[in-house]
Amino acid sequence: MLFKVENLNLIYDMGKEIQTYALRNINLSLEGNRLIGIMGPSGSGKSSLLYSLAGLKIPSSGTISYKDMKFKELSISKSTELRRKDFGFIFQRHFLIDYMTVLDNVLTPINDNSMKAKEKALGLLKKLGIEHLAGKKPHQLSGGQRQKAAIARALINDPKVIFGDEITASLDHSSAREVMKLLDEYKNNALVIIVTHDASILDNADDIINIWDGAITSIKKKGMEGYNESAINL
Amino acid sequence: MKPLSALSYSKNNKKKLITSTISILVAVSFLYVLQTFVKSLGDSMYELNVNPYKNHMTIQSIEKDKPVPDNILTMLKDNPNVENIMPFVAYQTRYRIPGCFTNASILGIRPEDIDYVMKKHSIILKEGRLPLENHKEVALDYRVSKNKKVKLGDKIGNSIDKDDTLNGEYTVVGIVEGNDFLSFMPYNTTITVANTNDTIVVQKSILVFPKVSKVSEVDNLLLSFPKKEVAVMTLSENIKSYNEVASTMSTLDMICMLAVIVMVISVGSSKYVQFFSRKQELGILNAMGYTKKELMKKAFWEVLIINLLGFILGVIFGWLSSILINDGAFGAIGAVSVHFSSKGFFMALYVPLFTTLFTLIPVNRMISKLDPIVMIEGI
Amino acid sequence: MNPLSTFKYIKNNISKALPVLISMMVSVLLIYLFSLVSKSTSEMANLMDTNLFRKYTIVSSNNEELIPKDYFDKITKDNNVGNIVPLISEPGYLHYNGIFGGMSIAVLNIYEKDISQVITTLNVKLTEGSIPRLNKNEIIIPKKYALQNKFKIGDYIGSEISSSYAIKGKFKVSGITDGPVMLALISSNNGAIPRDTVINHSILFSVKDIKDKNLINYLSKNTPKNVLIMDYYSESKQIDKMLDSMNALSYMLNMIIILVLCISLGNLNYINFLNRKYEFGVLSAIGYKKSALYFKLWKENSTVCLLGYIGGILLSTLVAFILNLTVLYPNGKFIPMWSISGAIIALFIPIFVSFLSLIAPIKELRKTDPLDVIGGVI
Repeated sequence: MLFKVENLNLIYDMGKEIQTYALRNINLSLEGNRLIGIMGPSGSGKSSLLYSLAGLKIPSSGTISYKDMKFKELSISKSTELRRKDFGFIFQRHFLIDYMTVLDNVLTPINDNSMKAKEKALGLLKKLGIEHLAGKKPHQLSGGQRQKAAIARALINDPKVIFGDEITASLDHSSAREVMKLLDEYKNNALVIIVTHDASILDNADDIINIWDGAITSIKKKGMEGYNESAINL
Repeated sequence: MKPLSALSYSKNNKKKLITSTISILVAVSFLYVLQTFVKSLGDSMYELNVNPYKNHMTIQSIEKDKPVPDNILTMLKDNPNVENIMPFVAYQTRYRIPGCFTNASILGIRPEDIDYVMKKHSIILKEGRLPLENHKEVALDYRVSKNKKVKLGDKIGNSIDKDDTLNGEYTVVGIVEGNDFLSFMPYNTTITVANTNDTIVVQKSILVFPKVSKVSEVDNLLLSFPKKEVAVMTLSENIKSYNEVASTMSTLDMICMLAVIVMVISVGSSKYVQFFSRKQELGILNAMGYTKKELMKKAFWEVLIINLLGFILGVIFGWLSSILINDGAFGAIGAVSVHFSSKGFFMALYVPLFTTLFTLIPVNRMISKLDPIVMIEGI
Repeated sequence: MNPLSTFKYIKNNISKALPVLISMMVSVLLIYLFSLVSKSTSEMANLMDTNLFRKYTIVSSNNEELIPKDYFDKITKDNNVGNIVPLISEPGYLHYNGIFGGMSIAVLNIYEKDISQVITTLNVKLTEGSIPRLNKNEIIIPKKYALQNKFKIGDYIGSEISSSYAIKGKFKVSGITDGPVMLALISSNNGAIPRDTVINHSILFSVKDIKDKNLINYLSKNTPKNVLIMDYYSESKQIDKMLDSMNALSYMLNMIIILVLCISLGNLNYINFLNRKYEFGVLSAIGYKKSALYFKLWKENSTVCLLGYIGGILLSTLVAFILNLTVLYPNGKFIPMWSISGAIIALFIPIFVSFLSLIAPIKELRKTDPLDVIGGVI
């Protein structure tokens, strides 16, 4: 079991009169190399679930385990190291470092400038169609190109888990398809978890977790009826 | 270069590097030049006022019309540590150094004694000749002549230059060279009748020459003589009065420290704010898996590179400036021009040291409070 | 307060304004305090030197020859000359430690009956003790010197006590004076030189109107070879030369501080501005002219700089006050609490910095296109 989530609750404004449940009573098991989509409307808690799984958000109660390691038993530096070694992140905003070139930005997670690393980075950029922009700085790129560079950055360290948060929000339709095609290839080697409210990009997802108001409403497997419907319709 | 290395950051942010480095360079070089300037002043005063007393000491009668008591003269002659004693006349002439008025000594020596005195002080005649007895002549130390801008044949004294402390008018007939800023005039036994404007009264005085490595013994001997009868000037007394004057240089040290504080605060603030504006970058790196310790290490090296570069360039620039400034202000007027000062070096070091500290302490606090989620969610 | 007013900005962004404010305050503290110290040194120089010569001019022969009669008559017959005091000798000086180095207090040897007249003409008061008696080896000293060396009436000064004294012999402190002139006086005529002889050899004469230069010009132009004149104008010229190097240091310090501040605060302001690019982009988009925005930026910057300047002046005054009370007055020293020239020199810092540190932000603002900002590109 790669991820095991038990009775997870994430509460904001704890101790105050009105408490907000970002996540309530989540129980989940994720395993294998597959593409998992988390769908739900704005404010449903999908990003909260994603970042909790990544160890970036600390739950108010419950446990999250990754490879039988409970996050709450890990020290901060250990969990940070874990993110560096095993995880790759594609954020909603690109968060590229603006004084670095695209190539250097891609190499940031491994902080390696050897020929081998550079070739690998260029290979990723090529797959995303922006190899020719390797020497440019982020402010010289369009929004979509920046996001592609950010995606390449997430993949450079051969992560075992790839977390993506609304990764196609700033991309046009054909670029979105290119990106999802690339991630589809990666699902053979890693667990890819994508948060989105756009069902069309999850055509090839193995599982779709629908979330609504902080709670999982359904988990649909590929081929199941209602697999690709938005959570709102349930 | 690794993408997250400090060198890579410097390479990609040349403008920021240059502006930060310039601030530190200016601060460091200013402090270094100031300290070498002050040291030039101090060393010039030391050589002028203390050096002569390394080879001789003086003893003068308190009472104007009376010579040094015979018993004291006998004690000096019989003392095994005293090599020679001889009568002399003490004169002074104005010597100008930036920021103060001081005087250089002129010894009125008998013709039979002058060779001995010059030998003891390792003084040689560089130009012209020595002054003749009963003539109003002077052989000036070459640095004193440089200071007064006079050459052979010119005249000195307060009849020529109102501000001079040498009474009358004397012709420069020779230039001597030695380490002790000593000049020579003929021996005169004139005793003042009414008043003079001399601050050292012209009367019989004695030069005392200690044997080699017996300076402190002779020093103690002279200091033991009754102060009611004679006034003595020894090496230890001279060093004491020099140190009293030098202690007022602590005001300049206070100014330097204040200047360091000003520079540390302003440069440190701008560096800290620079890091503050990179909070997002640091937050994302933390999200990607760089520990706070690693981020702090990155910050440390970036700050260190700038400060180190600024310091090294500042010291070089300061050294070059001190050559220019001190040679012009001191060397050109025959005083001591200092280019190297360890105190200047260490004082200048305070700037990058405290700037690094002043920058890294708040940066450390910022990094420790970093929450990557806040960056990601744009809160 | 208008929403876009300067004080509203500062009130809501104290943490951003604080580094600039503190840097400015500390810089002004340094420069202004230095100017107070310099002023103290020049005031001490006046006390010890020029103030004496505002009232008296010294004319003396530098050898056994007397002052030529016609030259002497010119002085005695001049309308601008008050009293004429014979000067027996100038037996040495007393060393006084100023804030910026050592200074010399002149010791004059005059007849006992002239001492009261001299100290009255100089507006100096005998605050303790009595004037020195003739040939009794007594001396009156200024209060600041007494404080510095912890002397009181009855103590002894002179080379017989310690060879660090540049006055030969041993003198008992008979009185302590206070006033605009720091001068020590003795009355010693062991050689019983007649007054008439002394008066023709060396004199102090009081000057009624220092601005009337006729006599001094004559005396300076026609000075016989053996005569020395020490007058107000020549002495103040010498003092000015000495103070020149201190003034040069002050200007250099000022320039260095301005340079360092311009660069570092310029850097700071640039970064602060980058964080407000969106704010200015939006203001530009909604109709504020760029010139108005430059002015807004300058007003905010200069207000912070000015507040720092005022804070720095107040802090310096407080520091000077505390230093005077605790360390300086007890040691016969002082720093003045106020210096107009110092305040003006220090004012250059906020003026220059408020303009020069805005070059980079204004350059950035100039090339900011509001559409880029509101279109979400930045």
